[in-house]
Amino acid sequence: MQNKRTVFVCQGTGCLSTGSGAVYEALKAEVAKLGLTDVEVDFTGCHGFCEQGGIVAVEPEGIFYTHVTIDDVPEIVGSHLKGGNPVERLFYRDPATGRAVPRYHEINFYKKQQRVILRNCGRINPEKIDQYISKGGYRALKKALLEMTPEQVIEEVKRSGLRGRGGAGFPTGRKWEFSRNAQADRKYVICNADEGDPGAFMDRSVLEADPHAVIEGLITAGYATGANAGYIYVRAEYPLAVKRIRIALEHARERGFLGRDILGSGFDFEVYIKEGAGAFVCGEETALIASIEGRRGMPRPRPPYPAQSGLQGKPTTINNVKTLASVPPIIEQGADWFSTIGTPKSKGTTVLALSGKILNSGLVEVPMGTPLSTIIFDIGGGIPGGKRLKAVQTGGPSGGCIPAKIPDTPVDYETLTMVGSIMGSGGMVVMDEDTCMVEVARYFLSFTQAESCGKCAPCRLGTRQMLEILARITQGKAQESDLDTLFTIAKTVKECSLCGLGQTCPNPVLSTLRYFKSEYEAHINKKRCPANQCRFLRRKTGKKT
Amino acid sequence: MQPITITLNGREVVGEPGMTILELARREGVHIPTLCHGPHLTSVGDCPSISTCRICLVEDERTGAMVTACGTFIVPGMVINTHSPRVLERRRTLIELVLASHPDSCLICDKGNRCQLRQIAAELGIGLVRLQKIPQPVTIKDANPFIKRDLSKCILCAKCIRVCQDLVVEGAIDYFQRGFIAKPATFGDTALEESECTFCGTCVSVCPTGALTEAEPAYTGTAGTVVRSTCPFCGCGCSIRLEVHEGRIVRSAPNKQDPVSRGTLCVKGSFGFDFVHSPDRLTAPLIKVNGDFKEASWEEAVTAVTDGFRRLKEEYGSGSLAVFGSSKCTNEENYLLQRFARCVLGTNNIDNGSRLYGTAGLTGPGETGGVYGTTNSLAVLEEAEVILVIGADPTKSAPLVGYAVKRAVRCGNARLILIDPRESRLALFADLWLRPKVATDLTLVNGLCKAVIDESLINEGSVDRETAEFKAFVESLSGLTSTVVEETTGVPFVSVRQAARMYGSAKRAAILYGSGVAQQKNGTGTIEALFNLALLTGKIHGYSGIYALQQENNAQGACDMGVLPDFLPGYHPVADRASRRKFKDYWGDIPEEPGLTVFEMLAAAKSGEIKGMYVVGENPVATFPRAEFVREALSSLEFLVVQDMFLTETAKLADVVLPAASFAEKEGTFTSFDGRINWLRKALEPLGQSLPDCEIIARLAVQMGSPMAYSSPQEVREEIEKLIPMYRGIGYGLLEEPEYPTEYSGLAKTPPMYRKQPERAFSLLPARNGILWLEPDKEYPFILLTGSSLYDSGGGTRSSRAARLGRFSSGASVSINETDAGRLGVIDGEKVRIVSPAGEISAAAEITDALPEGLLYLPFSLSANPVSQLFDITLDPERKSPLVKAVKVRMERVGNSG
Amino acid sequence: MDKPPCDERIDMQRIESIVEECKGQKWALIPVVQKIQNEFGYIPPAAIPVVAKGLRLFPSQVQGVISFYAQFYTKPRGRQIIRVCRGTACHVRGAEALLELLEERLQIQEGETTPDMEYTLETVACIGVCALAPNLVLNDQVHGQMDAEKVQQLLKKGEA
Ligand SMILES: Nc1nc2c(c(=O)[nH]1)N[C@H]1C(S)=C(S)[C@@H](COP(=O)(O)OP(=O)(O)OC[C@H]3O[C@@H](n4cnc5c(=O)[nH]c(N)nc54)[C@H](O)[C@@H]3O)O[C@H]1N2
Ligand SMILES: Nc1nc2c(c(=O)[nH]1)N[C@H]1C(S)=C(S)[C@@H](COP(=O)(O)OP(=O)(O)OC[C@H]3O[C@@H](n4cnc5c(=O)[nH]c(N)nc54)[C@H](O)[C@@H]3O)O[C@H]1N2
Ligand SMILES: Cc1cc2nc3c(=O)[nH]c(=O)nc-3n(C[C@H](O)[C@H](O)[C@H](O)COP(=O)(O)O)c2cc1C
Ligand code: SF4
Ligand code: SF4
Ligand code: SF4
Ligand code: SF4
Ligand code: SF4
Ligand code: FES
Ligand code: FES
Ligand SMILES: [Mo]
Repeated sequence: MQNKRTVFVCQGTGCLSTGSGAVYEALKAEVAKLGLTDVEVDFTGCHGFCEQGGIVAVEPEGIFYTHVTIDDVPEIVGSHLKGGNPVERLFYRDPATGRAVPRYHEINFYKKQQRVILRNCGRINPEKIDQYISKGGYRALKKALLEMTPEQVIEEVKRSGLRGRGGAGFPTGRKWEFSRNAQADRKYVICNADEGDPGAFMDRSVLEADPHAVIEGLITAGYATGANAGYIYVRAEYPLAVKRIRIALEHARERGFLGRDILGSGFDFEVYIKEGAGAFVCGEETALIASIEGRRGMPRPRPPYPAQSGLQGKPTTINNVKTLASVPPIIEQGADWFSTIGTPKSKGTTVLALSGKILNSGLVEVPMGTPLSTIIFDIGGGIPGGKRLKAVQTGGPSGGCIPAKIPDTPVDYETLTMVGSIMGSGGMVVMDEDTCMVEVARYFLSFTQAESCGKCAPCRLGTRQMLEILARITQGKAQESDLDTLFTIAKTVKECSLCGLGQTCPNPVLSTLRYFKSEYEAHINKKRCPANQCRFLRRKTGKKT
Repeated sequence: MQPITITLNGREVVGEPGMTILELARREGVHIPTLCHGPHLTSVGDCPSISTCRICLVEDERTGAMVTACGTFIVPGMVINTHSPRVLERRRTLIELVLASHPDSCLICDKGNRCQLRQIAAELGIGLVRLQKIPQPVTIKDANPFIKRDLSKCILCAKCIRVCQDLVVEGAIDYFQRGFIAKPATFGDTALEESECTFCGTCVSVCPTGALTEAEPAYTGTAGTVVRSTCPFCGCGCSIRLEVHEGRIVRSAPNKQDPVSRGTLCVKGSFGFDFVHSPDRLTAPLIKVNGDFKEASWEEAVTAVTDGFRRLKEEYGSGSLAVFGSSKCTNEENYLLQRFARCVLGTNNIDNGSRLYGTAGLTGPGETGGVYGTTNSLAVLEEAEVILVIGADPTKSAPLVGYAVKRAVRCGNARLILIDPRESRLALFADLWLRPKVATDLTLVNGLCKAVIDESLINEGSVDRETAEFKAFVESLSGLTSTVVEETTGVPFVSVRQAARMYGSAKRAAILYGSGVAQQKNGTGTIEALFNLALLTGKIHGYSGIYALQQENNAQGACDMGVLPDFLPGYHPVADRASRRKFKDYWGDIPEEPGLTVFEMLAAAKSGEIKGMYVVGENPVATFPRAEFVREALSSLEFLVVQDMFLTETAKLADVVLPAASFAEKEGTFTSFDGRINWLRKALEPLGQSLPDCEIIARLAVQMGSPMAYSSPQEVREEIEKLIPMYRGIGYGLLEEPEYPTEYSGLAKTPPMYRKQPERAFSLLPARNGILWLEPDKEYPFILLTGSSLYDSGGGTRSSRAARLGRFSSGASVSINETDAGRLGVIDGEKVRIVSPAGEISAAAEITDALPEGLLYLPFSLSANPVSQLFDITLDPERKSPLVKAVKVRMERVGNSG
Repeated sequence: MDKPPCDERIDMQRIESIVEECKGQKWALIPVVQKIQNEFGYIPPAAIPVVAKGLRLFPSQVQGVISFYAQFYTKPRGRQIIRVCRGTACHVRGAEALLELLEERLQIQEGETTPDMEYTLETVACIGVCALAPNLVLNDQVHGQMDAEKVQQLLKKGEA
């Protein structure tokens, strides 16, 4: 038993697209063919390092292969698993030094991370509940249900300082308390897995790689708030996540973590999956509720908040996937442990989806307050092609651009808001000197404009007008006065819109206007795109348009 | 509750918890513009606003946040600025954004000065819009005569959607698409006339812009005066606002402050008022000379009438005279009319149109139960957990009730049990739909009673099992096995039991019945059985009730006022000496013999016992069964006086025709089917020489030498209040109308004015035996049902003269099941002949899946081709009402036979 | 209201039986419509009144819901569906050019289907494989790091 090794083939969506499904099958066949009885071939969800896919990890040694294709299988099995000689040419190569790094925990990308939410991602088979349990899974639930009162659970979460990872950062314990205190014959908890931000895929990775963590958190939330039913609202584009949750729920039920009288505690809880149908705004909580109820996912004014009147008019708690996945470690290891991570106001870790002009794109989990530069240069490996960093866009379409001149900005709720961006769901797009900031603003606005539900006038009409103006600017057809108009509309949309979508969608415009106004002016006055990106203004060099 | 103090524009003001900033501001005289707000609109949560337009944004100085005034509740310590520079700038930008996607057509827009968008733009001083114009794409064209849409002017406030979905629950329009191109649309984005729209007009009345306007407006400007009145078409008694300009009604709109109609109307109330201006209106009295009518002066006409009646009275006695009064005239008019009949003509031969559906007076279950119609108010119907609708189609016949039922099901938590052989619109809303064979409802309802007993759903509080009455009742059901119920009605007993459980176990439940049982054989028994059912389960009082749906606008009032052969006002039996004494003090002598019902009058006219008749506001030739008989009967009279607005089929037979003023030209009250007293106010001067019915009756009395000394309807009301206990003590004579608070506090807190329900002790009546009655046979293999059609009213005298209704009326089509049509080789739209034992008519066939095989359906309101020709006069023996709901017939293709 | 014209190929009975499973449950609207789309590739407009009646909704409401969500289609789609990711990472790494390329190759615009019903071209908001941007999804299969050549290959394979 001692020497038993497991070969974990990543079956996350990223790796699958590089053909890791076939790799997995081939590995199993090859291992069987060679009769290696001490080797088990298994699979995991996403490691968060998809750029390097297909990824194959051999545990417990921690050998980490990258870019594995089906042709590499005989060598891995023959040389490494049978012969004991790991295949060096498949090791990760440090982009800076070019050195081969054999082990997972030695890779820079991982070294500086602190994985709480992603603790099991890439380390267990998400379709096997035993692997989750062997990593300490469901211990927190047992503790909560059998040793703690709901009030104590809430108290613990409150003390931990956990804030919602869905974007707004509302203290989770207080949210639970509202629902707990509301009088009603029925209550609900909902896991918000709508993850619609373009550029964000951490919720999906968690659900695909560690669904039980979310389910355990959801059951705990149900217990704490007094709800007996939970919903997981997953966006339509995530079929694999749905499949994994389904399997996980079934297993949890078999083990008595779901259903009637869970673990003999007298607490009943059931979980249902609802699939979205393609509307970004359904991530907004009141829209999400409408969507679960089979209606158009249009937000409604709050109050009443879902904690007072949510699903079917009953008190409802809505939490993000990562928020819920953070709950079991808090219950198990205690609020004190959790609150040591992060900053005084933003506790714990944050998961970021690093992408754009960066060497190591992927999922990154760091303590709150980690400086941007650490994330971009130490973990992300810097900008490829020797280009200069120009800006970092955080928070997706609701966020803003942080200029390169403030690279030490700590990544936490307060600071990001202060510099005109937001934490949002954690998308982080790195931009180099070749990126046109006006075009970036236009891109984000074209997204929000298309996703505006249309219910309220400022967002429905204002996004459209702003988009027209931005288009004019990028086409060199704008006038000086358009900038004022753009600013006025952006303010109006921000302050007057009904829901978070409208209230935040001018952020990319406002923050680029704030930090990169000269770029706008160049487009307008000089009919020139400083980054030479805008098609209509492109200088006639090199490639044709 | 603690009052809440906030700072509003620098001033401390005090409001109550639950108040929005907007409500408080309005109360304090601070004007905040709104577009999407509507206090009478329902929505999720407690707040009446969905806050989509954002124009009412105000600033909370403490937090710096902009919040909507319409959707934000006041909290202590708020510091609100409603007109700070920042607020005004945002509002201006918002309106500019709206106008950038809006046509520049104010000058030619039908909404004109009534447009809220234009008003707000003017208030904010917005002239030219500097933004780029981005028009909204629009394609659809409506071709109906009621509503015109120009969605390029739509600001997507969603009020129309909210009223259509949540208030009238027709569901014709909803949001379509999302984002910039989102708009209100029908299914398939078709024209309204191709949708489920019933043209109730409610959406038009809430639209703040010119996106929804009347299709054929009589006038597009702002009307000079607005007169609150009551819709004259059905017993729902919707309150309407008549907009008057230069002596014409130019528009009718719902009254958003009325707590019962809640700002809704149906197509008749919204678009049916123009019969008032019909060129067919009678403008002068007519006297028949040698078979031709000649216009006459009032002196001549009144003299002719009084001479005629006086002569007959002297020659043949008072018993030779009869009066047929009106379920359309006001309470005051009806009160006068029956006094005129009793004390001037000296006869109790007086009846009214409500005889037709059999709840006139206290006959049938009323005698023991004291029931004559509805036992509870419409306002509480929506509180019911279970609503049982049997033999009624309120979505067409009483739309306001239909709205309430649908709302209760859709927006509340009520469950609906529908008992109807035909698939009416309510079937879509029903949780349980029983489809009995026609006219077998007595057995079905008895089956329900039996199931209630068997399932131990009896309410012990209201039924004592030890009484002889109860034992007799149980005994009377002993022969009724589940097999008998199933075989007679065709409804599986499991469904009967399920219905009994649903109804019996609910805490609050309502029964709505209509002419589908009342105008059928066994109707009296069925209504009794419904009362038994309610009694057994304790569902007569409180939030439960029984609602008799078949009503014309003032059918209830006409009965209350004693326009009945056997009752004085307030249901005092005429045969009772004490009752007569009471009225005699006011009126003088009252004949003691109960009089004849209307069908008995007609028979007596035919046989020569009745010689003279005075028909006010009824058109029996067009709407009674066997028109030929009615015509003959009326023609055999020596003297017939008809008082109407039009020269109806009946009026044509008269010796003297007296021109009556319309509802809009007079003052008075109607009593709705549930007992609400609604006001009519004079909006116009009577057309030509026409006069309000009150006035005519008074003139006749004077000329007859027995003047009735009332100087105004007000004085009549004072006497009514004194003499009719139900109308006593409600301030009816004094109070002009209930005080509705102005718009800011949402729905009126003052309840509508109800006349009292009389005290009655109900008791279980032994179940009667259903008599199988309508069996199709070889010669007549179909049963034809009749029912009301939305766009017509009664015989169509008024509705066909409302230009828009008349054009949209469905015409004479008879619905038939697809299989039956296939068997007969009838195709959709083909002209067919319907033959009954009594007569025949022709009509276009319409193939539908709403009917089971063997059943046909034809709306009865067809002035051109009266369905009544298919019916013989068969009267319910107790209620003396005709059975006109179903008849056996055959259908023939016109091309083939004959 | 008359029933809208029925596409001959649509098995209305199948639609009715899908609806029947959720009869009277308003909440089931989205799953029911999803199921219909899974079976027919799109939601035939003729199905809407059937769905509405079965779930006790109005056709206008059902249409309102269907038209709200980007993943519901009321027109038949091609046998092969290409969805170009318009997520941020892909955008930054040239998704727009990729889309233009496809539009040119297939001679259709975004949201359209080729006349031979072979390809439908759509965009999708972030599929969460940002590391491999730019991405496209062909019939649920993700293809990362796309360029002109790979597009050419993909389309060739499709034709084979
Ligand atoms: N086969 C069949 N026949 C039916 C029915 C059925 O279901 N099937 N239904 C029956 C029923 S329930 C009814 S109630 C009748 C309805 O039939 P009618 O009672 O005849 O109804 P209407 O045609 O509405 O109105 C009658 C007359 O009242 C006049 N009128 C209206 N307002 C006033 C006023 O203020 N003053 C005066 N003086 N006159 C006024 C109108 O001009 C009209 O001529 O039809 C009956 N006929
Ligand atoms: N638009 C409009 N509204 C009107 C009128 C009008 O002419 N036009 N007239 C007014 C008047 S006077 C009246 S009396 C009322 C009438 O109003 P309702 O009482 O609602 O009568 P109908 O509209 O005829 O609907 C009768 C229903 O009973 C069903 N039915 C028929 N036979 C049977 C049966 O044997 N058993 C059962 N269970 N159901 C059966 C029919 O299918 C139909 O759905 O409407 C009033 N409102
Ligand atoms: C337009 C919009 C989109 C949103 N999308 C998401 C989302 O995809 N996932 C999410 O968890 N929260 C999203 N939110 C935030 C949610 O409304 C809500 O605040 C969150 O789910 C609460 O969970 P938390 O307290 O755990 O953060 C969105 C909000 C808005 C306004
Ligand atoms: S802000 Fe935009 S997304 Fe939110 S309700 Fe208004 S229109 Fe819809
Ligand atoms: S809707 Fe109002 S603003 Fe628009 S054209 Fe008509 S009057 Fe003018
Ligand atoms: S007229 Fe009535 S039924 Fe028609 S769309 Fe307007 S509110 Fe709906
Ligand atoms: S049509 Fe009128 S009521 Fe309806 S959404 Fe548009 S503006 Fe509002
Ligand atoms: S429901 Fe009756 S009272 Fe109300 S508007 Fe319609 S016809 Fe008139
Ligand atoms: S999918 Fe394998 S590392 Fe992300
Ligand atoms: S009136 Fe308040 S948001 Fe429209
Ligand atoms: Mo009637």
